[in-house]
Amino acid sequence: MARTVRVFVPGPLRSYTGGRAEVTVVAAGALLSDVLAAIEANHPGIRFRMIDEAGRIREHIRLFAEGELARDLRTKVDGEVQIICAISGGLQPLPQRSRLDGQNAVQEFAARPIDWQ
Amino acid sequence: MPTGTTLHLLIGTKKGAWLLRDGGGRRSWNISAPICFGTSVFHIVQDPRDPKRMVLSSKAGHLGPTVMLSADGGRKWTEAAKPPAFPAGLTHRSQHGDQPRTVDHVFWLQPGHASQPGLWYAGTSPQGLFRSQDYGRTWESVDGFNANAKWHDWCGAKEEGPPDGARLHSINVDPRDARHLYIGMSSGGVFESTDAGASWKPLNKGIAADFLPDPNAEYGHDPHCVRLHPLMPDRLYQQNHCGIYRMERAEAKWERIGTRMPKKIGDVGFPMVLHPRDPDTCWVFPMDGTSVWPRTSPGGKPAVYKTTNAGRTWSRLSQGMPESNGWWTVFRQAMTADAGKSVGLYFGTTQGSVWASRDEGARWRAAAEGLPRIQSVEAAYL
Repeated sequence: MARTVRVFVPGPLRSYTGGRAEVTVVAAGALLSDVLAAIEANHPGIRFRMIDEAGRIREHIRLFAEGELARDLRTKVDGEVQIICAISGGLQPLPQRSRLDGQNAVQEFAARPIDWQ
Repeated sequence: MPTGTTLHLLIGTKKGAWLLRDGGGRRSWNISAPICFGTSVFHIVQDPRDPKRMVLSSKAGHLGPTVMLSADGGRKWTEAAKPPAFPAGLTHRSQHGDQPRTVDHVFWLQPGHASQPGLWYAGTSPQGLFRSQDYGRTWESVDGFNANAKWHDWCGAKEEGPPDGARLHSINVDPRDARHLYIGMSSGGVFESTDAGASWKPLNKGIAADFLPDPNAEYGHDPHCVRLHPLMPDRLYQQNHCGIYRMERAEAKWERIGTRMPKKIGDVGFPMVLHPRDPDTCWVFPMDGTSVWPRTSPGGKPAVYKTTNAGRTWSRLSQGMPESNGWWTVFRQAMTADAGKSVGLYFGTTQGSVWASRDEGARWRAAAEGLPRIQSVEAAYL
């Protein structure tokens, strides 16, 4: 059953969400894998930064569902997921400008024209 | 080498990438704002077939590896839609049992053959070979290598590689034949394919391997950097963990040319740089490979060594570099040459300095200082 889930996004991943620290997605099912699929659909590329090609949560990423640490992607989610980068100061705004251009996250790291010093 | 208007150096570091722009005559350099700031950039490379395009490999501390693309000379960067990733089901042997094989980072980027615009290759850690046919936007596994039945034998178990992870690097494309490829692996050795990566054969005869139980092993060696000369594609040079070598491909055997280096310097190092027009001339940057391998300049006295006769003799080039306390080294893709009439040479150090020579290595001066640990330096004309 589809459900609406609030997702809290750490600083290193906000280039995918247009700088937003919180996004809302509609997941097709009740599992964390469903929520991640919905996040990926809205913010292409973000899932692979958290989950490797074998479907494992990356070593320094922690996912919490309703405040409980999720051990794998079969964890059930009710309405809230927090993404945490382990021991990462992560609530500052992005130092670079970021925006969404169609389906792709775009990061502009240098002013136009390049900011020569 | 692409022909553009202004020489740039593309610098990949532990904390992002920077561009250095020639301020005139290769005497002074302007530095850009950081690109992919805070992420580890292992390689940033211009596309010689479409010089405004660049590809960059990036890994942030907590996040998975990715690739970024620019189509406007480095102003705007967009993430690849499908970064390199091993196909499901591939494993990596480990002392903890077989593990799923996953890309830790993209280490090496190589534009494909001149006749194949948009084609790129990427080498990863652990050893993996990937191909993009759309300028780096999406990447596919080269299964002839990654899914080869002998991959585990060639590449070893997870714990058997170097401390920073085993890597596939030195992807060389024969300018006469797009299907003819060479790769280097640390560890694994040099391998060759004549069918665009569908099958591979080791090419390590003559290479010392004092760290292997069988010194005459067919593979398992540790090439640090392998270069094919574009004007003489049957000549290969190699800076290996166990010395400097040259191969004339028809002979199918590496000759150790580093034995002519001074004994107190030795012939261990990471990079190997070839003269763009003279197949007999190349440069290396020796490091201390004694005892526990400090991997610094020998004695703290950095120097480049040059041969102009394909390795029969070597000369020391260090004018302008620190005469002492230069306890740094240069990684394998952190030294390069430009296409100038008098070839410019450039290297970046593990302590964040870029050094430049506008006279083929005779004299050196710092082009930039205070950068993070430098992991790659490439020349580009924009």
